[in-house]
Amino acid sequence: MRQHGTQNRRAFWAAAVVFLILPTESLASDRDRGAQIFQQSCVECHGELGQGTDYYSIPLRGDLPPSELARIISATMPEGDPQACSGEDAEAVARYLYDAFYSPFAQARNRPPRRELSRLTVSQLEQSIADLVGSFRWQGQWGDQRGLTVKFTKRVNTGVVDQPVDLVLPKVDFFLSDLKSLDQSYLDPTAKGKEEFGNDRIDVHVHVDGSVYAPETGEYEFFVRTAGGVELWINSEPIIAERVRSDEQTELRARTKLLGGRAYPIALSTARIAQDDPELTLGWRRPDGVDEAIPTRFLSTSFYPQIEITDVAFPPDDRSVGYVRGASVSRAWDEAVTAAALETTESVIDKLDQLAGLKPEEAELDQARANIAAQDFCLQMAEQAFRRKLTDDERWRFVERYFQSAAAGLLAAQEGPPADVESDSPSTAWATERALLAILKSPRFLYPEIGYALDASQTDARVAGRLALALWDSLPDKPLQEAAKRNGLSDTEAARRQAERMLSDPRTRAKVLDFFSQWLRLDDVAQLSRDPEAFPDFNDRVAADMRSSLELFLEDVVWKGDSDLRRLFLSDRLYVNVRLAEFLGIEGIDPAQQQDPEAFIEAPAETDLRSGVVSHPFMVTSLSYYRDTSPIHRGVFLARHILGRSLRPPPEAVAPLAPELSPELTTRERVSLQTSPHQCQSCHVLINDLGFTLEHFDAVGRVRQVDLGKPVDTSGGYVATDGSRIKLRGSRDLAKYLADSPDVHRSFVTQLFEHLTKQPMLAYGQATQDALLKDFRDHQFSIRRLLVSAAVTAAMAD
Amino acid sequence: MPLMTSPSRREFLRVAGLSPALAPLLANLSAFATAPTGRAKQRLVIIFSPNGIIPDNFWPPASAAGEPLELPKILEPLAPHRDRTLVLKGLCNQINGDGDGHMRGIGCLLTGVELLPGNVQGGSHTPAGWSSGNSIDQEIREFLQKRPETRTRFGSLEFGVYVPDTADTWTRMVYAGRNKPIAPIDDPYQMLGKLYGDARDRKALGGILDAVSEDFAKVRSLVSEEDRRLLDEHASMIRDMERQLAADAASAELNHIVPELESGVSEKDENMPKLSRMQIELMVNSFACDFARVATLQYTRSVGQARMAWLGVEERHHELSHRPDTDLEAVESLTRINRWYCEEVARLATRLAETPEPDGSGSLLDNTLIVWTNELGKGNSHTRDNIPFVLVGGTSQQSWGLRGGRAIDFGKTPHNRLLMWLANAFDHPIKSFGNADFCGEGALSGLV
Repeated sequence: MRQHGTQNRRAFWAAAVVFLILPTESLASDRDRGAQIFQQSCVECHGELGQGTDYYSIPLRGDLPPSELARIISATMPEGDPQACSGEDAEAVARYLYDAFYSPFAQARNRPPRRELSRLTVSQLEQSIADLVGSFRWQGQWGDQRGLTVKFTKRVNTGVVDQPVDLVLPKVDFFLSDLKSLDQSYLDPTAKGKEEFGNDRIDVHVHVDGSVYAPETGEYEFFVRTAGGVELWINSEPIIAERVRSDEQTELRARTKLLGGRAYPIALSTARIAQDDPELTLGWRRPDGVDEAIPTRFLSTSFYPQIEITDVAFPPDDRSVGYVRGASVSRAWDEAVTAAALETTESVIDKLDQLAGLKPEEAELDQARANIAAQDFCLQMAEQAFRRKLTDDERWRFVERYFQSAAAGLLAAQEGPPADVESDSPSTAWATERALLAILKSPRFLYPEIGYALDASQTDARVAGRLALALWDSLPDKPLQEAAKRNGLSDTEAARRQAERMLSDPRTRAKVLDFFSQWLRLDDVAQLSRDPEAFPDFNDRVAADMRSSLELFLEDVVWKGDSDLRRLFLSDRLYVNVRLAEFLGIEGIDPAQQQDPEAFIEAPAETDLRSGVVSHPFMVTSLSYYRDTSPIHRGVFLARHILGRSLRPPPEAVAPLAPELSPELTTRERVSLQTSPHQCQSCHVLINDLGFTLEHFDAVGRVRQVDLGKPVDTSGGYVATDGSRIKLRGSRDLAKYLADSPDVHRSFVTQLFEHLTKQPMLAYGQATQDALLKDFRDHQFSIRRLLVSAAVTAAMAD
Repeated sequence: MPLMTSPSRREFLRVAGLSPALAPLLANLSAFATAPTGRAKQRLVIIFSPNGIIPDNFWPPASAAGEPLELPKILEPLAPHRDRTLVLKGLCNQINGDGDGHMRGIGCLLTGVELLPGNVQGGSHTPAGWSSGNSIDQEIREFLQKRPETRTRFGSLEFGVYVPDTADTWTRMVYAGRNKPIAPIDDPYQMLGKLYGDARDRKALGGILDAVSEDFAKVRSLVSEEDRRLLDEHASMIRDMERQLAADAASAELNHIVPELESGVSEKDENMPKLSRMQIELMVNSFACDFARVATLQYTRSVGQARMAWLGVEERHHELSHRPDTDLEAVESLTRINRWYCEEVARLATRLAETPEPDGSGSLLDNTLIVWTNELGKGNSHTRDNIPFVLVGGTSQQSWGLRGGRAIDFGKTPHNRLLMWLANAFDHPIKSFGNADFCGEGALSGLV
């Protein structure tokens, strides 16, 4: 990996030169004075570079503007004699330490981050394996028709009566008698069959077909509600096979792991036999979700091929720096990779005839030819896995040597019975197994950048590989590979065109959803529980509705219209279904008029206090306690995640004051009281002033005007990293400010970039960050454009 | 070599467990022959449950010598094992340094040493990273694995129940060494795969690992020196796996009877009791097969947020643990939660007591010491004084020789001295463990 320190240093000196040639001497002397004071009064406890000492170990690093630093120094420093350094002295020393080591810019200069060699993350490995095998299969198309095809067939005994009826239903959740488009002979169980069948009762067999989209990676629990026999196939595997039903239970359940951003074939068979009016519900429980009939938006009548999914449980990736990355290895990870390689190999060998286009009976007849076909297949696998053309050495090392042994083994075995994979003597299956395992365990597959270093001439393949990882967490598809082969990715515009094409792939959607889920901490608060006494109408289902509502809003902002980040903060509309509308008190949604009460529609919010994501019901609820709001959680979230600020930990362990102990205090008063000491205020000014602006929303996200009988006070404010101060009153004020805040823009660009590339943004140089920010601003804060620009910037880097 | 069983294979596993009736059969297998040293197979299990306890309902009142040990509400489930139970009060986790109370609570619990500075930020104090030293179970494991008469296939097994899928300081208790946390396996199916593996997979792997090692050697020169460390670390794992495969192939141990598990039990709050039982069965099984002499069992994590609706407790555990002592409802809920954990400890003790040693000399429990502990003394104060340590089992003179039926109060003694005692009891004569400042007076005495 190349170091990017030089670039950073250059940027610093450029800035420093500008700084030095400013036409005032006072600035330079101010700096000297600051340095001098720091040497005299601060070094002893804080260390030469603010790194800390045994006496006070916390390093002076952060992103408060110099003005705020000066305020804190004035008020608290030096310890024991805060008057000794105040006014201009405090400002000078604040300015000095800000420039010398405190600010993010100074930190990046002093310790320039670098792009580290990284292995595939768990998601990247799972997605890559799926596409590695998937590239040998046909491709599905999501199409425009939502819902599933349901075929109704009348039978008397085993004989089919009449033409089957095909209906497209938005979801599978009905009593047979609901389906008015079926004629009476389907609906009436006493209808007589034709006499020649000798039985007078008509049975109705139901077969459901189509595909289901998984928005995120995880365990999905499917359930089928009916008293009839059931076969449910998900991703071409039978996950429920209960053809005989003699129990009282009407619900069958099974779980399966699905990768996000992909559609899976789904098929369900059941029958009405000996019942009057059977119901049929095909439902799921998404990861961290609730039981629901699979919503229409996740269903398609199109067909998809099976997707290869490893069932291995991987240890979670490191995300301590704010994004998931593959910067370390562990034994458990290596063992999981090995297990996944074994599982994939076994599965591919099972389907080798299909994937490699080998007909079993021909293979039987001409083993030598089958051996060559399997070798070709493995060579293609290696090329896909290594994301570029193979060198001769690689062809031999990973594939040909095994098949040569197999060919020799075939000759030797011509006399005896053919060897199979279970035996030790080299056969075609034996060679395939070893070649695939060697490919999947190779550092060339697991560490993508190694392969590019190995053959530096293939720069277009590198661009293709990086784009695929950035936008899909996966391998290049055919169009990308072809573009790379004809050197069509060497200029930025061509790379942009590819990236724009890639945006429309659902894998990009899944990766963006995953970004939001981390940025907004959706995964930490999957299941909310609230005091049933205080909030009797709040439950898991409402919580899940809130989450769906937020997801739909996020999808909408990114993928519809102009994709403007500011809409994320300013939208005054909410997605609601009947239940959520009732819970929030949104009027104008008439349950009687909704065909599907579970379906979400966009409606004006119930109050103008609601504005975009930070006051979305799910966010204000999840950032609350069991009974009370938590301005601190809300403030920390706004500061850290939305504004990208770094916060120091509290200097001592503080258990929040229990509301029971101070029943006369409002939440705001209690928080203010507890965080009033000096040592709290350096951070809590920032935290509380942000958090208080959302006090209009209670612990279940509903609007309130009073807390403990007193009118809610939502006044607050913010001091930005550039030192500007703003007063804020209430959620709408906050949202308006965030939409235009340079801190928010920088934080969003940085975090999205790091989510895509799994590398620290400043490792690409300060100039890269500045350029991306400018591009973002110049294009009306289009998130879609930012995705393209970020992916292409990283892909084209040296 | 833990390898997963494929879903299709897994699908058909059903409820069973190693019933006592199976044991005589097992004894016929060569691997179950008596240890040649004359000393029994001494084992250690450490069980962790989070968020402190309710002192009034936990600590037995002082009792005169000769009187039976009184078991307050939380400890009541241990009644069948009263005479083999030793409750240790007054042991304090005095390790300071980085990390919040919960982080140090779990991270220094078995290591007895400070956390490294790091970037994991808690609700208070400074951020911290992983522990700066190994944990006592791993210290003992290394010691046992060095000697042929005590070496086992795995040495130690790290079980978990419903441990959140995040790798952070709150979630790791066991450390192979400085900066080397070991993740507990909380998926019983994964543990089953690790214990019983698949012989054919091993053979295929054995055929290519040499080539993979060659591959690593070839590409390492392509990366910078800093990045090479990562590749070298990975390459050494591949070589270890190669060695392990060779050793396994040479051993006959792979022919063990594979226990069966109920299929499809997923990781969610309400399945905790089932998951716990499955893990307990697997642990008892692996002791009966002598796969390991040391095991840990970690319930959730420090700051654990289990929602134990089956106890009638809807609020999450950690949130509850912050409530003041005056909140009697919370005290009652927390008592129930802790009592449930105690039931699981008792269940393990009972299963070990029911299972004979393969050589017929007594039960597994006679030679197995269970240590049940916690990251905090009390949840709402975050104190790490009076960390609960409840010892059960190990009463055989051929192994631990524990004198049960008692409660001892050590006043205010660093818990490092208990950790040292555990090692010494294996004849591993360490003079200090973790931060030496807390080991001055040597291992605890009076336990045997």
